[in-house]
Amino acid sequence: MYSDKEWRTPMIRFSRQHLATPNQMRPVYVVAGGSSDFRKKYPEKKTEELCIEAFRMMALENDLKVDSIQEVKDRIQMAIYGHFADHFGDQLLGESLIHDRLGLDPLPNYAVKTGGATGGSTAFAAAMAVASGQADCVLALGWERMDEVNTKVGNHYISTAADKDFETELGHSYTGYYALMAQRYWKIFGKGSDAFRRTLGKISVKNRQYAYSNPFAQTHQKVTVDEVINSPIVADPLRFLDCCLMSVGASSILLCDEKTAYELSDDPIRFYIAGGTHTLRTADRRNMDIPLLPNEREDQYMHLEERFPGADLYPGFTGFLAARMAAYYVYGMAGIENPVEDFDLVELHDAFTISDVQSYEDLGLRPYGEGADYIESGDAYYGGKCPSNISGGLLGCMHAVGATGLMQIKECMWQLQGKWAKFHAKPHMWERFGKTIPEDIENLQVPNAKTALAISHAGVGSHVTAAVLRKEVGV
Amino acid sequence: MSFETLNPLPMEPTTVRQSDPTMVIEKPRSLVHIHTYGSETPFFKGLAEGKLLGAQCTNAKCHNHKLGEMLPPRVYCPDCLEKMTFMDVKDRPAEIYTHISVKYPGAFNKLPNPCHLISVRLEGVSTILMSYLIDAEPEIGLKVKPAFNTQKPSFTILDLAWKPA
Ligand SMILES: [Zn+2]
Repeated sequence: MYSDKEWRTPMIRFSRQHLATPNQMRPVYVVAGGSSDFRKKYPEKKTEELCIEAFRMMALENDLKVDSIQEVKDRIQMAIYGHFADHFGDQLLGESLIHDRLGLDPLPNYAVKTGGATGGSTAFAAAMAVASGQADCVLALGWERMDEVNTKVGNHYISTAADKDFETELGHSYTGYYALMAQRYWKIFGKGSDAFRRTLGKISVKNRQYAYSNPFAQTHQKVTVDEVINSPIVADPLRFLDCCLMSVGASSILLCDEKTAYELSDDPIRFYIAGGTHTLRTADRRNMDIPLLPNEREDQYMHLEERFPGADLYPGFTGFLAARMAAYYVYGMAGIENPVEDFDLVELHDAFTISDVQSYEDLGLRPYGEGADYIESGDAYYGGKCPSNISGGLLGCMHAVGATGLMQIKECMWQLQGKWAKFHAKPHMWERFGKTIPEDIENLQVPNAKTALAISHAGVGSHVTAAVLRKEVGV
Repeated sequence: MSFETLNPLPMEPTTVRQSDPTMVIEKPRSLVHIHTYGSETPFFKGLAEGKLLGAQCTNAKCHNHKLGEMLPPRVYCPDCLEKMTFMDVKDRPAEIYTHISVKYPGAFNKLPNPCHLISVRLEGVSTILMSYLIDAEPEIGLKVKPAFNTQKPSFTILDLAWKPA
């Protein structure tokens, strides 16, 4: 039997090729985006109606230098669709159905599925098509229909994204599989303290507060930290208000090469994206050396266990290797050296309050063990150094899985284009969804935003994409 | 032809949930999946016999060779893709690495509510198995031993539980 020391031997090795910075053969731009609104149940509309609404907003309301849907469709040479769960929608080959309803036949299309990261992976595939020269203009559109079954069946369906032989039978609760990580993180890095529990609560409060000012959002209910930490337990220590929404809706973005981008738009946004993966089962995570991000030092984690007893393994149950790899690649592509300084805003995959904190550490927003400080310092808030999830995120705005990553990219794009108010603070944007604009709506446009990060994340960290959006200055 | 003949097995009839403003129908169904454990069969048979089979890479040239068993077991080593060897690890010292209680399980859950999910670290095993705890309140570091449902096995992972050592 091998010793405890051997147990910590790095079991994953990275080759030079594995760590090479990815390259786009030519620059990729995002020029437009659109969404339906998001609801827990949406009996008023079929899925294809929601997809067409997202497409129409993208084509007609983003100040593109065209006059009609047809002119946009004339540009598109390919479509990538994101749809996480055939069993939720009870429809195989939904991409073909949507493609036909959008009137895009006989152009090539294919669908992407990477669980919770489906939206990000859809953008990833579309960006590769543009970067490679396969197409000059690509539609990336995603949706999810999660209201055909009740919440308990929905939770079972989501739990089938765990290993069905070794995990799903254990409670049929994805929240449970996340909570195992939460417990360990709370005990080791949060020292089991009430203060850390309150920090988790603040994430939910923050994102729901931002959702209050977002007309697309599923909820407009502000909550307090006490309400979060006293909400019903789903899987201890995670409670209802620590968990993301389950939503119906659609989002889309339009990616282009440079020439098409400037023909269509006066303010196209440069777009970089990369991905990483890790085991489906947390059980299978093997120990390894921590691959460092540009703002981390070689010796940074040498004494982690002295500061945080029990921080014995990497990634253990507390890190997201997939997020770290996606960040590592895309930071290299986009020249990001210090995420908190370089990003004006970030949209993170806040499926659970705890996974949000774990992500801060693997995206280089804070070092390992210090994720809570990103919240406590105020950096993560509007007005702070690097505000996160101004859309409301998955906790407050939506998690219509195939659409989620695209929604977050689109929100980042609008921020960089200075269009937050155009899409969020105008009465007609609320009225179209049957809502009234709140009198106390907050202005959440980040002033002079130039660079943003959008994360899309699956499983307990199985797939992550990281997209960097940058406003080009002086072109 | 009459419409009656269209629905010869009306065991799960479609019903109308609402007609206005949009029509919403209910489509109930029950169905059976037929699933193989393939070459992982010894693991699931083993649980019913009181065995806990991890998998060891026995390829001397492989990095994973000396890094302990993997549990859940795999048919092939993820590093060299050679077939692994099953080894019984039920007597290894084991402790709880992390734990939670599921209070709001999904549909089809068969465990008691609430149930204590645990991740178990076994000495010499390179991975950390997800399972559940019986007869105790969980805490990180609690020493545990496996319990097997050998009397009336379900031939699922639920045949394995853990209790204080
Ligand atoms: Zn091997």
